[in-house]
Amino acid sequence: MLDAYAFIGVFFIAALVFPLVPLIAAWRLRPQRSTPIKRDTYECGLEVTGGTRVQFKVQYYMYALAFVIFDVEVVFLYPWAVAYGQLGLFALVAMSVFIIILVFGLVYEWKKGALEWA
Amino acid sequence: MTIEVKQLVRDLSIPSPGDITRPALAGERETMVLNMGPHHPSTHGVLRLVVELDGETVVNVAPDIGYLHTGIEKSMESKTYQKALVMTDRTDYLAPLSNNLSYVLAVEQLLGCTVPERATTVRVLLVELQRISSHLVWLGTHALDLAAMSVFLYGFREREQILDIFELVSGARMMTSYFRVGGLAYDVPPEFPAAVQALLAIMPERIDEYEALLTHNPIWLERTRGIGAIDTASAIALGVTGPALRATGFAWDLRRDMPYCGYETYEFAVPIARNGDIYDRYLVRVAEMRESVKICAQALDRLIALGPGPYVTSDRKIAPPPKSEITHSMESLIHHFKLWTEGFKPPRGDTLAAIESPRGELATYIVSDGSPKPYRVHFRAPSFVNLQALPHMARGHLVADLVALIASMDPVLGEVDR
Amino acid sequence: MNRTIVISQILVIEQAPGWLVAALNHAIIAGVLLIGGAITMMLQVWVERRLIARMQDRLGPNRVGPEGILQSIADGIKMFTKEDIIPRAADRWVHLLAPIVALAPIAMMLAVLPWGRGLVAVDLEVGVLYIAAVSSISGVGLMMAGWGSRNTFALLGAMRSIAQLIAYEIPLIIALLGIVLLTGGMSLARMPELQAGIPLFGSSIPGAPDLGLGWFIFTPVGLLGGIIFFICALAEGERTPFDIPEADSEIVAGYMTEYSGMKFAVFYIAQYLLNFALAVLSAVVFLGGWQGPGVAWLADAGLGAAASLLSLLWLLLKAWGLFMLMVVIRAAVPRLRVDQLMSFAWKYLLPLALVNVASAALWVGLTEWSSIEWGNLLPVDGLAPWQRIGVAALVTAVINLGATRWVLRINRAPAAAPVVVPA
Repeated sequence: MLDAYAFIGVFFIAALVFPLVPLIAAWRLRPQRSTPIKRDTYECGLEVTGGTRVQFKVQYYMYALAFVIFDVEVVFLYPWAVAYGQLGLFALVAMSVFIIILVFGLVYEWKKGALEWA
Repeated sequence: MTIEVKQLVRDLSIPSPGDITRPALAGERETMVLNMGPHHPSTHGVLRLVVELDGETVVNVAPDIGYLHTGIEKSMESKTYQKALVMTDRTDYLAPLSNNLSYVLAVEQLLGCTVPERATTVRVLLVELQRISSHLVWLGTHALDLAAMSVFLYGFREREQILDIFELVSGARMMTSYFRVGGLAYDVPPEFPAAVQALLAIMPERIDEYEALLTHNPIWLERTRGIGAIDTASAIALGVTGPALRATGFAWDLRRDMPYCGYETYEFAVPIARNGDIYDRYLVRVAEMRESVKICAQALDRLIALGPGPYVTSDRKIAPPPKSEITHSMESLIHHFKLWTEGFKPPRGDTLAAIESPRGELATYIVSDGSPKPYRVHFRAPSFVNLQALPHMARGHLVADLVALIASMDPVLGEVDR
Repeated sequence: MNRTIVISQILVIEQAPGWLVAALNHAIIAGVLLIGGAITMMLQVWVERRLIARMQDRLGPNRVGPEGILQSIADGIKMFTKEDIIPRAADRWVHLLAPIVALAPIAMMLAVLPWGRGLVAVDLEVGVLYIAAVSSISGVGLMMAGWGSRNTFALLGAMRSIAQLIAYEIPLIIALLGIVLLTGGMSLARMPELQAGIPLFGSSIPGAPDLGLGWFIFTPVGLLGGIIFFICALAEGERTPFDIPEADSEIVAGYMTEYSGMKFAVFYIAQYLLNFALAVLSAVVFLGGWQGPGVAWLADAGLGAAASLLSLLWLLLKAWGLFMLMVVIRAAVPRLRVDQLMSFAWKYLLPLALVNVASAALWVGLTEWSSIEWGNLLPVDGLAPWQRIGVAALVTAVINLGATRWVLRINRAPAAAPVVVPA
């Protein structure tokens, strides 16, 4: 078991090296002739108007909130799913109640328009 | 002006870029300003749109044009009428023959010259082919802007065949300058009917093929239906013409309503739709392609029935004599010399010739001061006028819709900026 | 320390300390997987370009090497020589690190995938959770790219990609949950083993041959789950019709707008690798993984190595098939809009995925529980396993079909068909 995680650890280092190798190789190989014009921000060939650090629309965060709720739900569901085969009717009913509450939440969000992009 | 019309004009007024780039006032919602263009994949040339965004929703759009200004109208003033023709190819570079036709018709009106029927028939045939090829570019780029990339390549396959026909008749694929004052530059070659027939034979099923990919595609419907809709009254108030106007349910087509080149003798329908949204513009243009195929077929039949004959007016003051005459006719040589050194002199006056180009009403206005060069040439360019409806259509939609919207108006920036 | 010492340590492996041997072992396997991944990515690009060209009546790259197969290598060399441009306004380090943060987690997905019979790098007990956890880290890289570039298009692209990734992650994980219910474990390595036998009934009929076709996709739960999973995989992998974060016609190149040269290539690699990993994952979970006709037969005949090879071939065949399906979809359909994309995830896929979990729970109850576990409500003890599977298939098929129709109905927009009337 521990060996499995040791492998994941080694793989993590390897996975970090994986993008680094071409990046570093390219850094050594490529020409470096930067000019101020090249380093301009791309804005369709014009001077930048307005900043990018602006208030962003709240709708993105509504989705993020919905995501957090359902992601946490899934974390609860997985252990249940693994043990489910041995638990019997009680597990089915208990989890049904849990899911139904969440489904009500989804329906509420839906009806309130939190899932609309406007 | 009645109050309603005043209100309409105020509602439809076009914002300037400065309205959008000014900093937000205290208490105003902070919005993001996005420059779409001039260097952008889907502004179809060098259109610049200053877009005010709230998240991804378009609050306001200001088109900023002029990046492709080439001074075509002004340059034409310093060229003789024959030479100025070449400039017209370069305005709407997706439909050079339509521009040629509009200009040539205007000059012919000034001169009061008649055109042989063979030339008129070839003109109709080629202009309709041009309409198909222009609509194919529109269809391809429109689909490509919504990431349906295959339609683009299918459409360009057929467009290639149409350009081959243009090359066959004029030697050039795009900038043909094939129509001349008084007729055509040269007669069509013997291979011409067969080439057109080959194209017309495949075209209907090829159009079916594009439609199979798009017309009933649920994603395509979702992306285009109900987006950028405009009603007939606003469209007319904004001067919108062409497929965009017909998509609102108003059947107005100069080929039928103010016929030229004998269009009244051809059988064709003017397709319209109801809602004036992107999808309806799509339907109208696709249906127009089918109608153009019908017109082409009729024109080709007439051309074959006419048999060989003159392809340019016999008035030697307007059209040059054939080369064969020049070697043994003194008079012909003089005509030739006069035409190419001085040109012809239309009487003083002004004229307007309007045609239905693939994008809408294309009119050429010429003022003649009696000299061999036009005093003033002006194009009523459909792309330019249609573009001013864009802010009105785009508000409240998303950035992604804006892209589809530009494509559906099918602007050609060469024509907008001239 | 010089080179000879390292080599001697590998050669004289008994004298090296145990942890070092293990670490080297792991490193070699990791290296093989990652290099395999890099080669796969190059092949993917070539296959995609050639296949899409074929669909579009053109040739595609056909000059570099036979049939243009070396095109990706030529492109790679070009990338190495391209100048790297960091915009003045950019947040330098965030901008630089973004590609690494985007690629590394996706590469880590390769660690737990079972490649063939006995060909598993590591059998994690929590394989499914690991995949879900690791793959979502890569979204941070995209956000870093968009934010760090300080470019309007990049920021919009990053916002879009995050919204898309989180929206589709939920149905994706819940679709996997249905299969976890069926298998009773989260180990990815065990999933193909449980998909032996014949379609639908698996190994439950005594005496039936092991065709290696007991794939979950043949069960109603697996079918709906598989479809949801594949759609989510398209969205997570940013494939058309879900390639909205980098919609070139709208926001130029999305979060990659300010990237050039090798940094751009790293994003590109990440994307193709993610596509491939998701294709393999779909194959493993729903299409029987390395199971296929002949594998069990070879193994029974004592040809273990041959069976492993055949099983690897089966897996690659399925994964490439799924990847090609993605390419075909790209050539055929337009792109969705961002709001339609979000509502598709939350209003279509999420309810369906939840219903599918209920179906899976019922399936397990109907096929595995005794009457006591049913609280003596259902007298199911007398039936043979295959009969119980038949009943379960019927019940879940009805539920899933009904749910699909219901979800499609509640989401139907009022249709107004405009007609072209010749005037």
